[in-house]
Amino acid sequence: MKRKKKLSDNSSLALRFHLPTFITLTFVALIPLIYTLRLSFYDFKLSEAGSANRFVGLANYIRLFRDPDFYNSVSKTFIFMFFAVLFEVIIGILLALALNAIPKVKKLFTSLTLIPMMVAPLVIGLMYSFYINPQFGLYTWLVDTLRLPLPTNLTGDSFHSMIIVVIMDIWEWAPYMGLVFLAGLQSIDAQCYEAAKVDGASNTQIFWSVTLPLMRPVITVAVLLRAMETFKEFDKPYILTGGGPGNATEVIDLYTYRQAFVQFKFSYAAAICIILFIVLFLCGMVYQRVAMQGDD
Amino acid sequence: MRKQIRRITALTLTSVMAAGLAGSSITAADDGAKKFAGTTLYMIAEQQTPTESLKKQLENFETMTGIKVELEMAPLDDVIQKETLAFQSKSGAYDIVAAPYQFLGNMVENQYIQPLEPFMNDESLAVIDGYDSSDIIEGMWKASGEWDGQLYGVPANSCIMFMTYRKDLFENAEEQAAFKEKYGYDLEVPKDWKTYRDIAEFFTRSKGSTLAGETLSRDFYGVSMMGKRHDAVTCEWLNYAWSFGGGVFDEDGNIAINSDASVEALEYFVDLSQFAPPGVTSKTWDEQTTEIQQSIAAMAIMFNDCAPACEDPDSSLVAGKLGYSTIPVGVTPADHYGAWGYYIPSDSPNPEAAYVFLEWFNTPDVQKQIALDGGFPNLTSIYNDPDLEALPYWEASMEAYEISTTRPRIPQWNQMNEALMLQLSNCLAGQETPKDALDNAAKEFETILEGKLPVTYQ
Repeated sequence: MKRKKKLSDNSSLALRFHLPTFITLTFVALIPLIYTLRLSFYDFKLSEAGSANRFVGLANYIRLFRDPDFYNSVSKTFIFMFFAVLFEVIIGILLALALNAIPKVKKLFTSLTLIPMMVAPLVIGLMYSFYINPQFGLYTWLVDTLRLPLPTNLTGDSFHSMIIVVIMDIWEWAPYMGLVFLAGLQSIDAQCYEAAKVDGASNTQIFWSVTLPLMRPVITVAVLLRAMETFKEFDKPYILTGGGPGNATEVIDLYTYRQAFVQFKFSYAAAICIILFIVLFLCGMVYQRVAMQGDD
Repeated sequence: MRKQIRRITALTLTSVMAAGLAGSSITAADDGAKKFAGTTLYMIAEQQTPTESLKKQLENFETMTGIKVELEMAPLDDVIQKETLAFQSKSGAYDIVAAPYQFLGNMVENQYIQPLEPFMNDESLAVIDGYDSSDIIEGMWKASGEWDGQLYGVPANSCIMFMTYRKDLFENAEEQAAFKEKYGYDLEVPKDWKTYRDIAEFFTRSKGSTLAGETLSRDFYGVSMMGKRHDAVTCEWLNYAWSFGGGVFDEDGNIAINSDASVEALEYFVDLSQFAPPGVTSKTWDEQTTEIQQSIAAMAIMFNDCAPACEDPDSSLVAGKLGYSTIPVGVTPADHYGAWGYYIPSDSPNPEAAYVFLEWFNTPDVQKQIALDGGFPNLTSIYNDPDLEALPYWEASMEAYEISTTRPRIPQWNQMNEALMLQLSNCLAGQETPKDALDNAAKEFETILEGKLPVTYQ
């Protein structure tokens, strides 16, 4: 009896400690979300006076699912996500192994690899736009001088502009993945390696059968986190390609931005955000499940 | 040296102006130029050379009237976003807003801005010496300010597209001879689109070949074009479309964006882009200006407000080597007119003081200074000013203004433009054929204009 009382005391104390967070979240996340949801059932166009109260029900969603440009942006987002995350994982693992192999200067190199991550995405976009400029860019100069069989007009066609948008993201985030994997690598018990060596396993075998399986939870978490973040990709393609040529690199956030702040179709943009929210919410649930599993 | 002389002239003019203004403020004080003294006007406009010139002169306005103007400058997209937000929230944040004229229909139909007539008829507001409304060029005023017979604003930052070309190359004897041999006629400033293409082809040279007797250290191109999914691509292509006899609407107000003439214009446009520096689909007027300045391309269809930068010896390799002319003609002569207007929002707390500002803005002193700083004035009297006639791009600008053609100003244009620029850019990137791209655009136009066709007033 006494014990039960003590427990409930604690839980009310816990609630009090959490209250500020709940209040803050209500204001910065929940209320805007509910407002967005409400907005998505109206036909509010910022450029039309009096359109704020035009209720249209599900019309925005119906239009959305018939909108080829929306599907285009979804597919571009997934293409971007797949290739960016894939190469970030591969390069990240290689980087982690390399850093782990050089214990003496590890600290210095670890700090150095952090640099791309600390550069603002907008600046990365600007940097690359100078780098690949078809008239005076460093890349163009290299290709010309070394007579490399590479195209110089990267933003001119859809295939190459997607590649360059993916490369920018890899440049920014592969080092971060490297660090996460390095932490994972260091948490593997040395005994596992010793046991494998005693059994006569080669380095390749150790990598595939010991290192990788033991790092799986870290990799899964990192992949999920990055995949969710790629949905938010905006600054880099906005600066470098503006979604172009045409709409070849128009990822979902760029498309939403154009709908909301260029065409001023706020309700339509709200509907896209709600769909995006549902997708990310599901991803979040998967992530949570996977992350919890890792803890067990 | 030339620049220095220009600077001295500007300085002298400013001091003369300041003296003039000081004189007028004394006389005006009695009949009420100071009647709004102490008022602060909030204004937003695009960051452009003429706006910067205006900002420099705001002190004079304050001395004269006692009205302070807080001028906020931002890039085009930001200006539109901020204004739209202010209009929609009825915050009364601005007393004067600048907007491109193609937004006029939208602003009027939503009652975001107010008519000027009540102020124009109010004798007590005629307090600015030197203001003469009949001096404002009628065509410009109509394009920027008139909607359905009512005046809503005054023109500002006007500009027009014309053609620029490398006069030094056109006048080079070797090049002239080589051109005549290849094409069978003389190398002259192109008056039609076929010649324009021939010359573009002729001047497109790869690194190592000779151009006007000099070996090229990098590739050289015939034309510089704007093909980014941006207002710029619409601006450039509409010149071709109108000139070929196409356009957005036909004479009856029906959609003509996919008419035979329009498709032909786009086919020509795409074909021409092979003579432009690579990366056409990532270029706007900024890149185009650089390509002319850095001697990368020989010709361009450009806005005349980019010409001052090309003639600035500090930033341009080709200053003094450029010639200017009107755009080549297919069926109809047409030069695309682009301009902004200054308007008074309906929710402005100080509309009368704002109107006084618009009067001052259209006085000869202010307008002349804007022109000297690299802008284009609103007043007939200033256009014939000898100081300005000496500018290399002045005469061609005048000719272009005479055959100017405007974009539709209907409320739906912004949305239509978004659709059109995507199709044009897709087409330049080779993802659509000209016919398909314009058919797509026409289809979107139909959806956007549902129930509004035919468009009889634009």
